[in-house]
Amino acid sequence: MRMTLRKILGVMVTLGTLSSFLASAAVAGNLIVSVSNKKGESLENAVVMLTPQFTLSTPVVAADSPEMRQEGALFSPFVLPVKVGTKVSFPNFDEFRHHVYSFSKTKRFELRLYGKDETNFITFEKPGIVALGCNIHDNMLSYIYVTEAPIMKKTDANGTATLTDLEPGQYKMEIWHPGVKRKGMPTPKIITIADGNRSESGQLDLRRVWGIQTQPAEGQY
Amino acid sequence: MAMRFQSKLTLVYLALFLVVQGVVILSINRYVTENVREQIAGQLDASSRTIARLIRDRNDILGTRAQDLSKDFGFRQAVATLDDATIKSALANLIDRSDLDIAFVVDLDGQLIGSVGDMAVTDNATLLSDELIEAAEEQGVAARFIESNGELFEVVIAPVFAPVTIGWVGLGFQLDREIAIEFKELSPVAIDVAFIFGDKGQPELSAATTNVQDLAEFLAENPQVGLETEYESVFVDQDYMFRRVPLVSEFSQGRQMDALVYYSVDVGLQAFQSLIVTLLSILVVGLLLLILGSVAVSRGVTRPLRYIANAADRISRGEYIKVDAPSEDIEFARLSNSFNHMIEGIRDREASIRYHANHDIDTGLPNRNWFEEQISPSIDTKKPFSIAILELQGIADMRTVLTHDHINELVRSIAERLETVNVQYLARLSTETFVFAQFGEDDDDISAAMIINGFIDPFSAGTVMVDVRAFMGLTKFPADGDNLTTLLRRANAALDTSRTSAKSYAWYDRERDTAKQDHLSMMSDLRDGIKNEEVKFAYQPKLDLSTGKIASAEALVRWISPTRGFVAPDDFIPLAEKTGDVRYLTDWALKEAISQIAKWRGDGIDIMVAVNLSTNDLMNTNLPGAVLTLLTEYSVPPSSLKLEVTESAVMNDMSRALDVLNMLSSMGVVLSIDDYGTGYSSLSYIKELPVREIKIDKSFILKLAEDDEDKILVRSTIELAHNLGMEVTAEGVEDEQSVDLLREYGCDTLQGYHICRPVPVEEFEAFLKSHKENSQNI
Ligand SMILES: [Cu+2]
Repeated sequence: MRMTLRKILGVMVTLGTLSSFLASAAVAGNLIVSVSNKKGESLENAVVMLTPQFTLSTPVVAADSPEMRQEGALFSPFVLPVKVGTKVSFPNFDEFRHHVYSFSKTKRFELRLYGKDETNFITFEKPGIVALGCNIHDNMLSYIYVTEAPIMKKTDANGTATLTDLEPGQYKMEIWHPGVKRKGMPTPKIITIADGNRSESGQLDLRRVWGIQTQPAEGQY
Repeated sequence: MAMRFQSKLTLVYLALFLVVQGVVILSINRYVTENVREQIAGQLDASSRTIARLIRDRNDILGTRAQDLSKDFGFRQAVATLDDATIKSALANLIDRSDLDIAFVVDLDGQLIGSVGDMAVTDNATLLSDELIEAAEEQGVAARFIESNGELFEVVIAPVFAPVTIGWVGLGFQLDREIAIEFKELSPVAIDVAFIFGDKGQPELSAATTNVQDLAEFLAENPQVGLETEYESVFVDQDYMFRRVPLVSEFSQGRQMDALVYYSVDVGLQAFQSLIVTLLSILVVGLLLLILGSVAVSRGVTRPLRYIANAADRISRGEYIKVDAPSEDIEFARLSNSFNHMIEGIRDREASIRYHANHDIDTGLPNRNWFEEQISPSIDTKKPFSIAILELQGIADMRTVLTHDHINELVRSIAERLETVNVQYLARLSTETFVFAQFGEDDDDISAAMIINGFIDPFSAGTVMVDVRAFMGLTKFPADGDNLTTLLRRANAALDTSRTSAKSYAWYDRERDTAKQDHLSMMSDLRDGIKNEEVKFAYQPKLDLSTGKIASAEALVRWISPTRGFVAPDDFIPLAEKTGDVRYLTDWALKEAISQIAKWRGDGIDIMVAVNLSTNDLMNTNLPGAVLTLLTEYSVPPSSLKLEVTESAVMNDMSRALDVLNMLSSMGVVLSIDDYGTGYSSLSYIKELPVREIKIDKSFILKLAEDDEDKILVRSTIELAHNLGMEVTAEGVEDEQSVDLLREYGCDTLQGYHICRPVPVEEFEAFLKSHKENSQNI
């Protein structure tokens, strides 16, 4: 009788796992988020973050060593969202040196003059904004947004971020943008993802002037 | 006010010179002043622009400094890491290097991270307005002026990038005296500079290149300086021009802040003071030269004039001495020549005038004037003498047979004969009279008789010998008068007496003269009496026998003098006729009668009024015109006026009287012959007169009832008159029998006490009324 019970339990667990596996495999939702400013203009480089309010059947695997490249006297990408604890690489593709620094409280660091094909790594342990600059090139500016949310996506040029294969359930949705007013972050929103597509939109109150990366002056480098 | 020609000439030159110079100096002064003012205005404008540019330049420099600082990696790091010590040292370093007054850094929340300089300013919470920050974000730098505790600052802020904005760095300098002086030195001219601020009503001073206290007081008194762009007023006793340069930035506080540039017009004019001094010197020197010159010139003019003036003075004293004026100038030579001619002319004319003044033109004999001159020394010395006026008779008649020259010759020959007798100062007094004096021991009457006897022989008058008769009146000095006028008048009175004297001469008789004087004074009283309404009319009604009505009245003059009492018409009317005063009486009588007629006509009383005319009136050819004027003036028809004249009056000069009477008659005035029967009483001549009526004198009527001769005369007269187409009035009707007789004879009108005595106007009117009632009763 005891065997039977364990088996039954095991079967039940297996079944449960299986059923959930089967469910995740078979049932998934998509979220399309459109981000705009107060004027209704689409916002590129907005970061849409989802924090599941349940335990995911399959944990999201964080990207390994995302890059913050220095190329053509520009940072690329302009906005890089990463999960807490991510190690970001800073490869230099330019013929000249850069002196990347951050005075942000989230992560204060300085990569003193390093040349081509030299790659540095920085791990971001705390959530928050890290504004990156180059002491040599004043035009260079980029943001690393460190978040605890497991799922994140930047909006494209149309201001749209499409998050696919989401396990149905409740999520907390947050949106950030480098130009957002210091106290202008929209309040997080709880949304329910079900099978199929779902659309959300978010509106951000931006500062009139905010730091963007500009092209280096012609022939400057 | 008399003034010497010399002074006048000098004054005129002076006035002209002063006016011209005054105009020149005034216009130069005006030109200079305007020019200087324009220049100063231009300089102030230029300085205003310079200061505005200097401030802008400082802004730019400040902005560059702030941007440079914010880009410094170490500074960014220090700000990012809130490294106070590093920040402060970086700011202090910059202040020293750039000659700034304040520098500060604030974080994004506006919290001051570090500052150097005036804490009062950097701690100022209003320093960084949202607008300023936004502008700095957009443009990389922004500037503003602020006022803190009466000090003005210019502040520039720039963001600190790390690489995004993590705070703001601000740099500033104070607009203090030092800056003002710097502005002043950089300005094209040494204009003064001040910085003011404050509400529009009352600007306050922050700093100035001039004395701060003076300017602060000036601002307190001239708050308009803070409002007007251009202003001008007296400041420290000088005329100052002001320009206000607003210290404007988009982000200034509400308070107004200005730079003030100002410059003294007086100082600007100082450069021209030497010019004015030169001009005034020219004026003074010119004035002196002019005075000297004009004195010299006018001396030359007035010297000969003074000669002539002296000569004129001599002439006025009767000294006809020729002028010997210096004759360098042609004008003056001619003037003195003319003057000498004039002196000759005057001398000749004076002699001629003197001769004519003392001589009779016709005969060349001395005249009364000469006589007066001769006799007056004797009067002055009280030397006794007698004066005689000798009148030649018939000289006027001789003019019909003798020529003027012959008569003159006659007069001269009479004078010659008189001079053979012991007479002195013989002179012709008038055409027919001589006057002379006699001094001497001879018996007066013998001397007088001798003179008269001298006329027994005829006198020669040209080719004929003429008999001349003479009368002579004599007066004695001093017994008969102490002056010549009185003596001559009394000699004339004596002459009057002599005409009726057998001796043909008479001495002045004081008593006789007194009566005459009384007559003269009576005439004087009469003239006054007419004016003072002492003379009035009494009206005597005349009864028209055919109708039994009173249709007319005779106006009789009554004079009651306040001093003489009632004066009988017979006492003054003949006298007035003699003296000619009757014309005043006639003037009055005509006016009074005609106005009374008019009054009665107005009251509905239609009465013809008769007025008596004198002999003189009939000789007066102006009388008809005067009557017509009065009739027209009072709108009285001529038929209401009757004029009564006496036969003797008409006979005096019949042809002239006829002229007057014909004119009166043709005007329609009724004429009547008064007192008929007392004179010539010839109806044959009366029929030639334009008279409508005769009035039979009362002497024929008074005793008509008793005297048969009167009856015949009256009766025949009435018949004759009626035959000649004339009416008859009987005067002096005093009893009923006379009335009956006259009615029987066919007399037309009765007048007399039996009808009514002459009565005053009111009584006359009453009589008319009662008579009318009585006649109606009958
Ligand atoms: Cu670089």
